[in-house]
Amino acid sequence: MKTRNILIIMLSLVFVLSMAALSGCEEPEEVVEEPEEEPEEEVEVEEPEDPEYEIDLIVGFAAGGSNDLTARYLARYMAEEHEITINVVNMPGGMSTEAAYHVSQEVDPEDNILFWGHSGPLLFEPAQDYRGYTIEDFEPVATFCAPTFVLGARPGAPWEDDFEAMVQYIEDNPGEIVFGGQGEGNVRHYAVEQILPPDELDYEFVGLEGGADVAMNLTGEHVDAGHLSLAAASPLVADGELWAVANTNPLVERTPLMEDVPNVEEFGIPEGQEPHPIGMWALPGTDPDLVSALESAMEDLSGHPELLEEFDEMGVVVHFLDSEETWDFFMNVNDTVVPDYIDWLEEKGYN
Amino acid sequence: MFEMDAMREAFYMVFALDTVLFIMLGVLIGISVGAIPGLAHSLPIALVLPFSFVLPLHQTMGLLIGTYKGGTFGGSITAISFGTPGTSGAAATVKDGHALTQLGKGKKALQMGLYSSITGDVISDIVLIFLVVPIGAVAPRFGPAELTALYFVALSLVVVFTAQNPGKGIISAGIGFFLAIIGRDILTGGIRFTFGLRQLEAGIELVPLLVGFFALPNIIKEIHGVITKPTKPEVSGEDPKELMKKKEEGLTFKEFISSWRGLGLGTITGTLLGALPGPGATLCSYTAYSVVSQISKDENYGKGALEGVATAETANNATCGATFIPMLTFGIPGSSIAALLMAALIMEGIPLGPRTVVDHTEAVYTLFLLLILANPFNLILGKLLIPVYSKLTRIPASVLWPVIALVIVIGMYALNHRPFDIVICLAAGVIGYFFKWFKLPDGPLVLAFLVTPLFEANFRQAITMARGDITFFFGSPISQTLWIVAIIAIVFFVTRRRKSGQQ
Repeated sequence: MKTRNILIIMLSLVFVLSMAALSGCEEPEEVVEEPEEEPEEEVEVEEPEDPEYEIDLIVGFAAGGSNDLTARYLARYMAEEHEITINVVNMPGGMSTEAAYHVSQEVDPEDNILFWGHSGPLLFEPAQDYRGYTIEDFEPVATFCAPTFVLGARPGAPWEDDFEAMVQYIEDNPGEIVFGGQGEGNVRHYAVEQILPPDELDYEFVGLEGGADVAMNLTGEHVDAGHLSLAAASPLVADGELWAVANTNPLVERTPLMEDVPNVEEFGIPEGQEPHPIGMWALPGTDPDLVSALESAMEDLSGHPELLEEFDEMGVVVHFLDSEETWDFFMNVNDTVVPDYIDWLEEKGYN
Repeated sequence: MFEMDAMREAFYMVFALDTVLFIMLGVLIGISVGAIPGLAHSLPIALVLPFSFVLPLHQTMGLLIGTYKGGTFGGSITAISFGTPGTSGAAATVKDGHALTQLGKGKKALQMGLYSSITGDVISDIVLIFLVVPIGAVAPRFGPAELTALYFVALSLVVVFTAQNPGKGIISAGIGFFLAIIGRDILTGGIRFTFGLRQLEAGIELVPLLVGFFALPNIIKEIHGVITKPTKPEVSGEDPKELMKKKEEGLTFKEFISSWRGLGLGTITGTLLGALPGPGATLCSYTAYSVVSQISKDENYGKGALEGVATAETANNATCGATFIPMLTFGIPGSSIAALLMAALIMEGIPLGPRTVVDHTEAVYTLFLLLILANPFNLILGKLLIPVYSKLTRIPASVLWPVIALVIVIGMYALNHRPFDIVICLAAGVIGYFFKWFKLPDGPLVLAFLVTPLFEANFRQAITMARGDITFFFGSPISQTLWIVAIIAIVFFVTRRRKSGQQ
């Protein structure tokens, strides 16, 4: 019995010490003595203190993916640089429609619960079928970033490491190429068919489960080419296990992680860009001061060098659009891409 | 190539007081949370994730690896003590583990769960350390055709569970198939069998299904007992305080070693399947459990055998080390927990992919050492907590079962913040209750539920790639081997069934 008591005390000590370590774990900063600046004015001017805000940011995917990580990085810098506390809450399900539904229909604007979403749950999903909400139920705070997707090929594929050679090969060798994409009948598949129209090029499209699955199938030579996230592709490209031949980002022409990889727009295929920007969305009626504070903080952070570097490493391009620009961008996608996408779904029999 | 300098640096980092404290804290959190039904150990890992921004690699990963390992073992505690799996990976432990508790051998079962978990863990870690490169190189060779064959082998195990009563087995498997295809089509995203319920579009989550299926029938039964026989403890003549003090016999070395078939096959299954993206701990433990049921000499297998606990627990813990293999070789997470661990590494500035072992050798060695070092702490803390949990089973039923019910409801909500998961859990409980009532086997349901989406996705992908050429499924040596294994397994199981029928 005594031994057990001792062990329990030890465990308590472990807990307390660990908590202490958590609070004091950062490396000591170097102390640099700076010359004291003389105050320009003797009169003390009281600067108005920024109010401290706290929000819950609902992410529609499980912890660990690029959607989640972008929110977490943003939360970190918001707290450090702008004293805005963002609690990231994961609510996965239904390709993020569960989370969008929750925010739009089940919370009060005064609760300061916002949605971290992209065009999938906000435009393409509600356009396909009734999801219980539409984009009109939200108002944009700002767009912050966009995951990049690339067209890749397995090394040793029977064409040169460039996009036009790949297209030429498919044209010259009908029925030979197997192309792997991230799912079937979704907006990514639609983008691939805009780039490689199946009525002109004879190849087999296989819907795989995600970027990692496409990468694995390319590495194992089960597919010859594929469309996958830059995050999944970049380590393989760096190791020479994958050729990246074009990117499909609609916000920037070249991605900083792969400057030499051209955008599909450069080949005259702007419709092959996948409109996937991620932004923060609030409910109408949310405190305008909070929305404004978040918007300006996001604009400021979109130029933060360390944040940019970290997003680059994830294969996510930071590109700020303010509230108005975000709405215009999404409405443009809604008016141009979405109707064609719905037609395509019906034509292919997916809807 | 082994790099001595990197290993030395990693060694100094890991074998330091702060790292040890974080591992211990992680194991403690893991066991405690894993032992709470419904609170899957992915939850504390997700909660700890933001610390990656402020803690150095060895502390963060010590905490996370400790939580992962502790949680994987912790799930078995409630599976054995209350017939309620703490995590989905412990579902296969329920049958034998809880039966042993009801036979008054709960302590033995818990100790078997702990020792077999550690055995699976240690061997899997060693395999990871020495075979990460060769296994990692083989993993991409498993394309849709090979995985179709692999999951066909797993589906053939349904035959094992249906052997006793094929009619009931088929009903059970049919329900599992049906539940698995509710929601979105895995590839096209089309909606299937949601009956107009928006919430079902997300499909049925594994954790609420398994926890509800196994736990709620027990809770209903026990609470019904409390209502109909409220004076039960007094009738037994035992003072509840005395009952709490009563000592149970522990596990002997002979008993542990006599389960060598389960320990061996559990480790092999968990390590090999765990290295592939997709199967996860639950499928590994069910696969191993059903294979060992065919070769075990223990007549009580499935009714309260230590070997059953050993098999399931070795297999699910053997996935812990193996899950790092696709992550460290290709940057591919093999499971939802692997995705969290991968996110933590990315947040620590370690990009994962084929060059990780070369470019971040020190970080990789740190991970290896953390994995190894977490095992003794899992053993020590597990040993320490077993007496506490085995005594919890003696708390009066009128208090214990309502508390468990409440914890399950909270856990279900905490999982995804979705109230509908509680509804799924309750509905699964009703299904589970009918299964008990009609004595339907639970194995076919669970296996069918786990394997169907994996089989369906890979089969459909392979069919597209094959362009109608059926020989595509038998094209590679890997798929040929797997089909032969599937045929041998089915012939073996059917022959055994016939022989036992004749006897």
